[in-house]
Amino acid sequence: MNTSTIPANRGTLLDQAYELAQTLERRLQHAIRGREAVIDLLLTALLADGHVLLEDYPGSGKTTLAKALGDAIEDDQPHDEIVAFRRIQFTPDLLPSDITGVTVFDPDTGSFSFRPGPLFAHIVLADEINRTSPKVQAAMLEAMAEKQVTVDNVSHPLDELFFVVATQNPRDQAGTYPLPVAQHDRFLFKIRMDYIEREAELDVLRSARERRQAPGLDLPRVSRSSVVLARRTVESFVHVDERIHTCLVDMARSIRESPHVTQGVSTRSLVLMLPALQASALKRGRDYVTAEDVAYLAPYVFAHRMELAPGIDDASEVIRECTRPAMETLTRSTLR
Amino acid sequence: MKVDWNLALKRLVGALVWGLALAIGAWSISVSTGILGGFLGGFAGFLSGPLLARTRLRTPTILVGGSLLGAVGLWLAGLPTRSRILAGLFGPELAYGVADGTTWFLGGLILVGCLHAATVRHASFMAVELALVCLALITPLSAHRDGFISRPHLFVDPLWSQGWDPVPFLMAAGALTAATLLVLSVGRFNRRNTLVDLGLLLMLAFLVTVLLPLNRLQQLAPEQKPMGQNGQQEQEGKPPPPMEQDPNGKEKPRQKPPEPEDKGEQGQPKPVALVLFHDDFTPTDGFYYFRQKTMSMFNGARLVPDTTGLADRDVPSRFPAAGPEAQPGGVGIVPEPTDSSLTRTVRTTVNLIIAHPLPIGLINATRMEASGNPDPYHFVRAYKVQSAAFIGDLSALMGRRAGNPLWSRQVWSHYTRTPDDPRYRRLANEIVGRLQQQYREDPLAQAVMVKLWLETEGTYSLSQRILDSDDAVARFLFGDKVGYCVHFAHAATHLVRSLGIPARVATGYAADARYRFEGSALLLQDANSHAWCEIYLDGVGWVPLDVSPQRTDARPPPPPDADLQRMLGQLARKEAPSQEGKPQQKRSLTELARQVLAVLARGAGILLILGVLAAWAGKVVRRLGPYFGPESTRPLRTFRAALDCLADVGLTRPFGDTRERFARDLGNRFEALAPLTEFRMREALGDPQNPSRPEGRELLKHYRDLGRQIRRSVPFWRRFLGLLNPFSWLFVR
Repeated sequence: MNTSTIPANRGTLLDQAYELAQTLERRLQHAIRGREAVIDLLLTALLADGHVLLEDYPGSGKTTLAKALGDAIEDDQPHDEIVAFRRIQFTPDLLPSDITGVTVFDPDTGSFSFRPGPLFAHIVLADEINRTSPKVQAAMLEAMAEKQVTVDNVSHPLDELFFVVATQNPRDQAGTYPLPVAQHDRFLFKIRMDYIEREAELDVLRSARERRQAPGLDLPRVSRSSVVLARRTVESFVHVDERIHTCLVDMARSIRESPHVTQGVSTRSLVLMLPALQASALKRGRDYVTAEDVAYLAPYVFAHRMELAPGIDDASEVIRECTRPAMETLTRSTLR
Repeated sequence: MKVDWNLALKRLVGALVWGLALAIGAWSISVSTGILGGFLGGFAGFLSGPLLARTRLRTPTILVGGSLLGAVGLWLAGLPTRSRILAGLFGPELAYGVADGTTWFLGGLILVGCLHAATVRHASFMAVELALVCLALITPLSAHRDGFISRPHLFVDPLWSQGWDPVPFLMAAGALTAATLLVLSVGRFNRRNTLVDLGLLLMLAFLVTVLLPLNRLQQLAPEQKPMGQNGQQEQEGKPPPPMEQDPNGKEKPRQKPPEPEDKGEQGQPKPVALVLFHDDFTPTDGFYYFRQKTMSMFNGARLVPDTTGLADRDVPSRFPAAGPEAQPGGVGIVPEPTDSSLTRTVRTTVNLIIAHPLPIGLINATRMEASGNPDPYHFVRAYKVQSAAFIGDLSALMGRRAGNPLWSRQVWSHYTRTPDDPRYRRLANEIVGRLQQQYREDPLAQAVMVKLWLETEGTYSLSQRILDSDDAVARFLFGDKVGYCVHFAHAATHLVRSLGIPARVATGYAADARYRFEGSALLLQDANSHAWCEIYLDGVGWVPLDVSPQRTDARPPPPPDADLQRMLGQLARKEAPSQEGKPQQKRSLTELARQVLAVLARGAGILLILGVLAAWAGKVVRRLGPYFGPESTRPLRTFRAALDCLADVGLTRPFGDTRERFARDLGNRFEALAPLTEFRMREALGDPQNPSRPEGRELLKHYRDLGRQIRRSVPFWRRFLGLLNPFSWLFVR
């Protein structure tokens, strides 16, 4: 067996990445109760270097969630201008420069210098992204895709960690600029947050005061560079079998051919999905991707990228129907 | 409430399809209440299928429970005819109708309900449903085979005129219809197209409209039968017409066979019976005589059939019965004692084409037995006849005494009684007086003399066919001597009787032996009907004394159509080979199909047994997997054996679920499944460059744990049944 391609510290790196995910998960679960599924997806996206769109109602804890995530990641480069966490509240009168930053004239030096906007952070909470004008949305989405902003024809790179948690309110649609499907494509996951369980809600009330006083400060944090390292580890060392690729492509083709779907999923979504699958596998303590990960992530990855035929409104049902044959083929191949 | 019209329409169409299919299936084997019951049962069954599928009952439970319920239901439905009280209450017709209607309704409801419930759960049951629908449709078409339902003449007549048996064509039409339906219904798997269902419905409606008017016609009018070459339709009595019981012969059956020499006005003769000869026999005088009836009793005015029961006991008074009523000797024939050197046994089978009140048989019949009707479409009935046929020349009978010395005085007088008219005696003596002295006392010579005299003196004419008045024979004999065979036969009988020779008039058919065309089949036509005189000679029995006048104004009966005779002979011979041990020359298509089916069925049985054995072998091999074989594939074999164990007790992964999900769902009962799954998945999907192979001992430990967990949570009987089931592992996927 050719062992030269396997670094000696592969196991260690995987263990470290797994530990990092566990640490983050513990902190977030401490900060926000009854949102285990959302936390899991959020961390999966973080490890997969993808952004997340949360669809929820006000007061569901999204700011708390994003802020807790920002808190959990320790900035190990305090001297630069990038902070751990920023929240941008999108409004119709917002301008692109309000989020990217502006070039200002410095009378002391007699030159223009760039003052970074709120995008220059590890974690950015883009609140109610559908309330702002398309040009701001476009600037935001460029930043998300390219990890850089361009101001006055000068490109400024964003932080390598740069992770956006965008939200939109599914109900209050008046006066909004709904994101087109093309822009939905830039988000790895769209997560719909529903009201939490009764017990969890009770738990929220019981622990409110205690959490306000000590927002998980006693729990360990992780450093920014360790998150970046974990991302690389996941991408390099979690194995994706060729059969998984086949399964993904077959699923996508099946969705495109479905009469219930007018626009199918893009190739980019499949490319983006690979690290997400790897991250999901890692979070479950595996160093290989299985059908389980595909089944788990498919609805979150595909649902917001599809346009459904008139009269069809349950995307997850369509996805389940379309992906089942490919999933079954993949599963059966493991018994031969 | 929002109504899903598309679904409702689909359900309605499906229910109609099933209802019509059962109604058509009931058509050929049930009465009108059965058809209605079948329709309602299929309709309701289809609608109740989805409701049943929504319950928590498992599919095998539904199927087995449905069968049991169906058995109980059918038993209950049969009560009106079985229970004396209920049958008495309803009356026989109503009781039968109620029983049949209930049977079809309950049977249809339970069958279709359970089956459709299974189809809703597993699409593959659709195949069973379709097969049953097709079967229901083919049944009425295949029922044509035995002529149970009226024939589509448009279809059948052209075939007959070409000499084809239409049965294979009808079967082919049925199969074609079924195939079309099948092709149409394959579209149903998509479950999106109501158009396909509507197409199915149209096909069924077409079948209904085709069958409905024909059935009505059959009930209104007597069955019409197309006949080969003459193209005319012969009236065919379905039930054998009532026997001619009245001794006066006045009461005739409604559809009567031809009277002697009754050629009617039509130029074309009609076939009446087909006789198959099993022994090659050609009579010396060139004519076959087939006797049907005799008239020997002189009632003071005319000759009538015997009513005393003492005479003519060699002539059967009824047809030989088939089935349980059959008697070993056939019908009650008391053959006359004969000298075996003068006769030989000739075996024939008579296939009646039109109904006769009495059996006909080659003289002199000694035995008649029922025989299976080889082709109910062509023949009314068939029976076997054994005859003691006279061989040799008439001259060999010279010197024999007339009558039987053992006869009682009563029988003697029965056969020799003549009208009081003295002219008969006078004329007879005058005729006999012409004989040479040495033959003058010989009865045969006397009788032949009478025959010769009548042939010389008489004139045969069909224009004189009146025999209604009592003195018609005297008027004929002592008048112009113009008459037809009945006149001559009566005249000869009276003359011969007045000489003291026992005689009688026999009617039936006489056929020229040449027209057998050297074949074994002889077609009798109405033109062959004949009457002749018979005299009794000691040791020989009844000998025909047929008068054929030299002067005649009628043409001899035309020969039968050779092709028709041969074709009918082939049809009639259908049953013969098995009984006669002769090799079959030409098999019919249906018979061939039956044999092919038998071979196929045997093959399928063997295949089934082999399949079960192979399945068991496969099961054993897979179950031993964890213990033998190379180390590299041990996780796979252990995992497979574990899944087999679970399949034995009915636990298989639902379609579309992942393996991990399956292991999780069963986790609380079978904890050992999860590690086994993980080992296998790591082996299958993990990085091949970084393998982590588990210890064989560890795998086996989990495998044994699983066995323990199964024993703990599954009852013994379930495990035992699972162990016996050879196919359980085939459901592992």
